[in-house]
Amino acid sequence: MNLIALAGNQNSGKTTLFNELTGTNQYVGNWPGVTVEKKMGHLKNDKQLMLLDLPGVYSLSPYTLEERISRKYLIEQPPDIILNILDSTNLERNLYLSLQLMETGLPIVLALNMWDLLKKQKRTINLKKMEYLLSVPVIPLSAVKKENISGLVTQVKKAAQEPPKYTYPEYDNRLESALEMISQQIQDHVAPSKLRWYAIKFFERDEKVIQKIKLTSHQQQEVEDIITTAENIFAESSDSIIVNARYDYVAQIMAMCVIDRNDFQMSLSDKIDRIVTNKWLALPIFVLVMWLVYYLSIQTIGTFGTDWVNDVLFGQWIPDITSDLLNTWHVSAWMKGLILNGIIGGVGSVLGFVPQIMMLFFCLGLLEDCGYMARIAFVMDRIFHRFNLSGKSFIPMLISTGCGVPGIMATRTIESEKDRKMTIMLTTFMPCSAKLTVIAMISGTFFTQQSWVAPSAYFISMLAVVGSGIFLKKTRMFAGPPQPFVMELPAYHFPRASNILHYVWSRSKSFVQKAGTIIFASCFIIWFLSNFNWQMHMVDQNHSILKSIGSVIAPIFAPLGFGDWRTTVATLAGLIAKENCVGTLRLTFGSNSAQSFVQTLTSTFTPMAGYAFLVFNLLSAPCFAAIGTMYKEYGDKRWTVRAVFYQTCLAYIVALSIYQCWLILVGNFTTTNILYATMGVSLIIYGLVVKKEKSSVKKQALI
Amino acid sequence: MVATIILGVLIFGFFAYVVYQKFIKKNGSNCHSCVDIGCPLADTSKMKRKK
Repeated sequence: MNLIALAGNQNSGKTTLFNELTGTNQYVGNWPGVTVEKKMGHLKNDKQLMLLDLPGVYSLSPYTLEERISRKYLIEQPPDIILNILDSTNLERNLYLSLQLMETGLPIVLALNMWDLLKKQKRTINLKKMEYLLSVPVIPLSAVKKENISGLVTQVKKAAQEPPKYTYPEYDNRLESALEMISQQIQDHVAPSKLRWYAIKFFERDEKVIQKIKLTSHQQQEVEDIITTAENIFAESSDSIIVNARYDYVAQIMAMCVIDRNDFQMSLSDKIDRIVTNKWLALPIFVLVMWLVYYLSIQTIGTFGTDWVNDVLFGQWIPDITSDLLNTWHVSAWMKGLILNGIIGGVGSVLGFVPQIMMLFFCLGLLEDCGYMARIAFVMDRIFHRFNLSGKSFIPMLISTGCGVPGIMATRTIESEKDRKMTIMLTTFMPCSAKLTVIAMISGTFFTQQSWVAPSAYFISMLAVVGSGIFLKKTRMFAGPPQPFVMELPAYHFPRASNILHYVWSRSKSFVQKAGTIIFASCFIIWFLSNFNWQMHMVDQNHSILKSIGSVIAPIFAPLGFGDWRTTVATLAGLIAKENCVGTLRLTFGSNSAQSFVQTLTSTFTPMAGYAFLVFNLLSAPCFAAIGTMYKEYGDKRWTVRAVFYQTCLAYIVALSIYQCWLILVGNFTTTNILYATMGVSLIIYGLVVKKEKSSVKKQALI
Repeated sequence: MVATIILGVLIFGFFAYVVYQKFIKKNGSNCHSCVDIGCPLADTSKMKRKK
C-alpha cells in the first residue's frame, strides 16, 4: 500500500480535494486552519493508495501546532509521495512551502489548484517550463469544480509506481557551501536521504533538530562557526538567509513561468474588500449583515415555519392523534401526562425551532461559503488587537456558532497558552444552535415585531467576548502581548448550493438528534420531578420536587427579574443542554397550546425580565458537554471551575445591570434597585476602565 | 393496563438507553455530532472504519 500525504498552505483546498479523492465528507470551512490533525482515507476505487490530509502550513518550522504535526509526520513517518496542493492564484507564497517540501527529498507531485480562478485573473502558468525547472510533475486542476481530478489521479498512480526523482533546489553558492560543510559534520548522525533537510535545519538553528541530533561538542562548535561565518558574509541572521534564498528561487520560477496580463488591475475580490474590510465601514457592515441574518432567521422567514410547527404540528396534529390513540388503548392518566405533556410538549417545543435554525445556518452558510466570514476574523483581529487580544481567538468563536464543543477544540491552533486558556473561557459566549432556541423563544414571546432583539443577543455575546478580553488581559493569569495573526483571505465566489445544503442539513440533523436523545431524557426527568413529591407520590406541580428545588434557588435570580421557581429550574436544566430552558418552561408553565404558553409567560414576567433571562442563559456556564470539553482541553479541574465561575458571574452581572438599569429608566425604581444597578454597572466599569494591568503595575513599581 | 405497561417499558427503556449512551458509556458521546458541526479534529474516514 502506498501512502500519499496531501500538504499545502492553509485554505489551498486540500480538504476539498481530499474529500473528492477519497469520497469522504470532511468538513470544509472557508477559513484557514479547519484541519488541525492529519486525516486518512483510501483513494476512491483503489484501496492500494492511502491518502493523508495534513493541516495547512506555510512552512515546516516547529512553531505552530499545524506545523509540528505536518513536519513530524513528513520527517518521522515519511509518506511514499507528497501531493503538494498549491493555490494557483497565490503561487509565490505556495511555492515557498513546495521548496521546503522538496528539501525533505521525498517524491513530490505538485497540484495547482484553483486553476479556474487563475484564468479569471488573466494569468497563465507555463506548466511545461515549471515541470522542467523543478523536475517534478505539475498538474493543474480545480477541486471545487472537479476539473482534471482524473488527470491528477493518473499522475498520482504513476508516481506511486515510479516515484519522481528530482535534484534539490539549489540556492546561493555561498549558502550551498555552508550547507555542504554542515552536511559533512552531521552525516554520521542522519540518513543520507535526509542530509540536506537536516543541514538546512541546523543552519536555521532549529531547536528541535539540535535537541534531537546529538552532535559532539567539537561538531557543534564547527557547525556554529560555519553559521556565524555565513551570517557575517550575508550580514543577516541564518534563518533570514534561508528565507531569502528560497524566495529568490521562487522569484526566478515566477519570472520564467508566470505570464500576467493583468498586473495593475484590481480583482473583484480586492474591490469588494476595499469596502468590506475598510477601516471605518467594516464594523457597521458586519453589524448590518448580522442584524439581517438574525432578523431573517428568528423574526421573519424562519418564524413562519416555527409558527406552523408549534401551532399546527406539535399544537394540534401530533397531540390530537396521540391523545386519541392513548384513549383507544385505555392508557392510564399518568402515562398520558408523561407522553402528551412531558415528551410531546417538551421535545416538541424544542423541535419547533428547527425552521429558524435551518434559516440561520442557511444565512451563515452563505456568508461562510462566499468568503465573507473569513473577512470577519480579519476585521475582528483589528479590533481585538487594540485590546491586546489576538484575531486567532476569533476562529474558534466562528466555529462556536454551530456548537461550543468544536469551538473549544479549535483553540488548539492557538500557540500562546495564555491566549488559548482565555479563548476556551470566552468562546462559549457565542450563541450556539441550542442557545438560539432561547433567543427565538424570548424574542417571539416578549418582543414580537421588534427586530433588534435577536441580533442584539449576538452582539451582546461579542461584547462579552471583547469586554472579558479587555478585563482578563489585565489580570496576571492572562497578561501579555497578543499573538500575531496571519491570515489568508480567500477570493470571493458565488456560494455553492451543495456546500450550503450540507451545512444546513448537518447542523439541523444534529439538532434533531439531540432533541430525540438528550432533550427527550431531560424532559422525562423534568416531567417526573414536576409530578412527584419527595415521598414519591404523584402530586400537582406546586407540591412537586421540582418546585421545592426551584424555590430554594429562585431568590438568587430575583434581582434579575425572573426569581420564579420555574425559570430557575429552566436555567438549571439548561446546564444539561441549553434547549432544555425552553422545554422546561413549556413543561412547568403547563400550557397546552403555544398561544396559551405565550400568554402565561407574558402575564408572569415583564419583557425586560425575559430579556435578562435570555442574557443570563446566553452568557452563563455552557452545557455539560461543553464544560466536559473545557476540562479535557484545560486538563485541569481548577481551570475548568475558574472558567465556569467567571462565565456565570459575568452573566449575572450583565443580566443584573440590564434589568435594573431598565427599571430606573422606566421610572419604576426603589433604593434596592438603585443599589443593584450601581453595583452591576460599577463592576463592569471597574473591569473595563479602572482596573490596571498587572504587568504595567509591576513595571511602574520597578521604575 | 397492558398498553400502559408496554409504553412504560418502551419509554423507560429508551430513557435508560439514552442515559447510558450519553453519560455512562465510556467514549459514549462520540464525535458524530461534532463532525457535523465542523469539529476540526473529527476524522470521518476513521469513524466510518470504526462502524
